Amino acid sequence: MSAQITRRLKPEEEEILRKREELVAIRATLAERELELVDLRGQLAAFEGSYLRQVGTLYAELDEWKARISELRARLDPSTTAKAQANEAREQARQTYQDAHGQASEVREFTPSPELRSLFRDVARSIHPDFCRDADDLERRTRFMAEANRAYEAGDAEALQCILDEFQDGADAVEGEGIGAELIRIIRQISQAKARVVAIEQELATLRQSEIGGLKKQAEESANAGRNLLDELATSVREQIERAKRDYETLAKHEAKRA
Amino acid sequence: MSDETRLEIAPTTGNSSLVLLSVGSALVARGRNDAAALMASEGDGLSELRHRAEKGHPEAQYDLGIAYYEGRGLGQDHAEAARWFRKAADQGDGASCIQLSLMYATGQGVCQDYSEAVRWCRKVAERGVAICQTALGGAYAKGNGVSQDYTEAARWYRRAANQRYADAQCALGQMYEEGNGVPQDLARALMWLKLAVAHAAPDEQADYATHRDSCARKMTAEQISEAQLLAREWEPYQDPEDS
Repeated sequence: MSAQITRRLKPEEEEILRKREELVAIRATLAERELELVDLRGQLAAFEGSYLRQVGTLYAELDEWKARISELRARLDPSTTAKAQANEAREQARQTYQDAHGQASEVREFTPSPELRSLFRDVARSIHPDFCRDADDLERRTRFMAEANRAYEAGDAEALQCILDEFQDGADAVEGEGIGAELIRIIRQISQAKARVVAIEQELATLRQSEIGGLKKQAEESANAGRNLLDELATSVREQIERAKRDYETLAKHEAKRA
Repeated sequence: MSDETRLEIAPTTGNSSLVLLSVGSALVARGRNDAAALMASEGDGLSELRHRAEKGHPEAQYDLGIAYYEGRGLGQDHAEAARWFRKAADQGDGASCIQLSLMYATGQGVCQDYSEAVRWCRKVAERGVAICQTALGGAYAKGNGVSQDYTEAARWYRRAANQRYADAQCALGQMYEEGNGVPQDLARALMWLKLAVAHAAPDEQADYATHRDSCARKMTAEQISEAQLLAREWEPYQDPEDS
């Protein structure tokens, strides 16, 4: 073996060594980016959860009062416009309630340990679907990667380790492919991985520019100024609810008088 | 191995199990809008202002007091407004003394207390501010927060009247007309009432003119021409105490 190594490498062998190194480097970058993506998604989901629980539920309460006011108005003034407005307000209240109390509101704080993050990095490096050899391998890697994402989001290090072990146990032995075929395979893997890095950058940017990304940024800015945005929002919506309740009571008295 | 097929395979991300962004983005957008309004209303300006107010700058304390008083950029809170005016007033800030005096007189944010209203008003009146001199004159005339004292009332009205302050000129004219705090003197009464009309803001002129005319009706032609002469010769007078 050592005799073979010390012999002068053929140009394609030198190329394949360089490409292997490049592949290792891009795998590391990709794993880092995948981790960043899964972390951001987790943070945004957790933030959305707190927003929905703390403020969204209050919006639902506010819209409920608004709907009741519109319905009462429609009874006092049975015009088609008033009726349409009441229907619209009722539909809005239903929608807000659904959004505020949906599955997204149950997501809690996401703080992965350094060990979990490092494990995820290993998993992403080894089993990323972009490093597949063929369609079967892609299907297998995609499945493992999805499970890995879920395990990470659930903070389940044990499951993540199992996924990694299982993947490695079942890894195909390197086929006896020719040097030319291997070179082509590695070049394609590199180009796919680069494309995926670009795609992740775009996904990160999309997430940051999304509504929840923007709201989280506002919250962080106000925290820097020593304020608590979600608390302030909740207070402001609570005030609106109080006003809506008073409006409703005034209207109800009015209706009672007419009855 | 088919390289061609593999190239067509799109990069696949691990499916996330998180529910995010698909649900409730309208509800999130709503919060974002309201948050932007909240941030803008008490944005950089107000937190900066609060910071300076807490450091003890009287102008910042006054501005923060006004923000609370009017509910500009934060929830309206008269008690909090009074607290900030008080801090600035204790440092001698005139505008805050006036605000505090008004709040004690009307019972906004503090328990109504005329003697406190007079105390803060007097601080500024003594510095020559005509509106406060007039208010203090009014307090003496009505006995609000001080024992009723027409002589003191006339004295404060006169200090403001000498500064062309129409409200005080009208009040002083009426004192002369009634003989309250000064010897009754219709010519001097009419003089001050004429001056009040001349110096009044356009929307107050009619009001003062009514007082002037009702006074003139009680007077002889001789008294009226004397008043005219006095008014023509009148010159604003700067009280040494008001300089």
